[in-house]
Amino acid sequence: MNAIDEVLRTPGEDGRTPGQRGRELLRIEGLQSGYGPVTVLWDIDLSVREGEITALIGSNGAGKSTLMRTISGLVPVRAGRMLWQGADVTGGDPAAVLRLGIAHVPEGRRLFSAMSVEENLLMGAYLRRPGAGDVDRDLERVYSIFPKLKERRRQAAGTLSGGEQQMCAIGRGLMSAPRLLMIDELSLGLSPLLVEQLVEALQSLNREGLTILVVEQDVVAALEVSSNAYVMDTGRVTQHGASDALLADPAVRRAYLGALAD
Amino acid sequence: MAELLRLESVSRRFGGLHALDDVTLSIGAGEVLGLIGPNGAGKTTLVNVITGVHRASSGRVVFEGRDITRLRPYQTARAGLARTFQVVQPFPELSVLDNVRAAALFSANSAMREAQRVAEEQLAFVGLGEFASMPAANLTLAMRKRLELAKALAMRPKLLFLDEVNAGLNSAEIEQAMALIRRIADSGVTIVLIEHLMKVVLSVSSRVVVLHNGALIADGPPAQVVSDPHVVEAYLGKKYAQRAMEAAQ
Repeated sequence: MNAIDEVLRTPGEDGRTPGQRGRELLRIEGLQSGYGPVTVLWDIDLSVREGEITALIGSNGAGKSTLMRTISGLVPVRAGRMLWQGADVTGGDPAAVLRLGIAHVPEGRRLFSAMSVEENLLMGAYLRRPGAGDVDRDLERVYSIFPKLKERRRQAAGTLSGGEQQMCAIGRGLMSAPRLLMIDELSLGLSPLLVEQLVEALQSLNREGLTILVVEQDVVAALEVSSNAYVMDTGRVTQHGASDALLADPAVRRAYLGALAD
Repeated sequence: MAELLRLESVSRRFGGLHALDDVTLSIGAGEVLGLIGPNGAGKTTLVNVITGVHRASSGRVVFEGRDITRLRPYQTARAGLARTFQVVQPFPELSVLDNVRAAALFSANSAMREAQRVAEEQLAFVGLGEFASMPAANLTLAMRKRLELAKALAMRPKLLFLDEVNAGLNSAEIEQAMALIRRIADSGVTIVLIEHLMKVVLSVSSRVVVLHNGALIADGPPAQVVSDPHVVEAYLGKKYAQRAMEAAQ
């Protein structure tokens, strides 16, 4: 075995060899950002590999949402770099980031409440060629994942229940046909049955090649569904690695599982 | 147990949609009632109809023996019904204390000094005492949820609706929130808990009802309701049911 083979076959800290890992899609180096005088994120390093599901976990206020908002260009980068397939894309505005293939399902749903469900979904595809057959196909796919949305497709989004709005927000994210889908608070307000169906749908999209970065408060669910995870605390990444290793880590269990850890 | 709230054949239609379909329900003083059901089943609409945000299309809402079907939200609030909202919306520029003081002043038309006392007491109760002077906008989500609770409690409610107060909280934060809900119940407030986190529903509720397509499909002790095949099919899913079964053995 020569030196290169040896490197390729040596498991890294995520427990997998370089050959087993996907190509790096998104890379964040030394990222800093914040709001007004307040710096929220400090020196964040993060790597998202193609075809994987990566989870961001940590307490409320740790900076997970701010990290997603910085990646999607809603919060300006103060220091550090963002690389997309190796190219420096630091400082792109939200439209430019979406054009790269990064879709963001924001916390708090943020639908166009006076527009219908279907119009909201089609807004997700606004950068794509109108009338293209694949937009119709993706719309049908969203409806097959969330049949409730099809039933209510002519209804104003503001009149949906909380959980239905969450489905519509995730559906809108999928409608841009992203390479990377970022979901902030996957299960928020959804029934257990629907969470199960949604996770299965996302796993199936993932097997077809969709890369996913997800924030989820149910740490066990987040670590079970993802292959890699980053733990954030007060604006910094404090730990990262393979999800199953983190799930077994006593420190992670103590910090985020509370009494469940016993 | 004395009856606190009674719904008699309450229906609510929005255009052609039957959001609530002939709901009859009695809630006793001191109960912690878990209200669960699929997304869009009508849970929040039920709270809206009881508290007067929407008026029932037909049927009656009776609170402490008094017909409150046609009361407006401010009137039901002063009658002793308080609620929290899924998407919390404090006055962002007001201090945490002033947010709670506003609720205390509103409910009882009380003097400023009394409102101050109630607000401080409730902030201490939910564990936000040390953040009283901070603008509400600066609170984390978990803290904003607790502020929402303090605002509702400052109105001295007899019946409190908690609409997904644990959504978006992590496991450690949920443990704290559950302890808080138990303490509110122990203080004598009757609680209706709308929640998707079954761990919370099962450990806090004394009774659980299930709403599906606007109608009640189950009503009983928590363990009985979650093993009901209709509830498993409509709401919990087979995977959850299996896990719950394994955990019980």
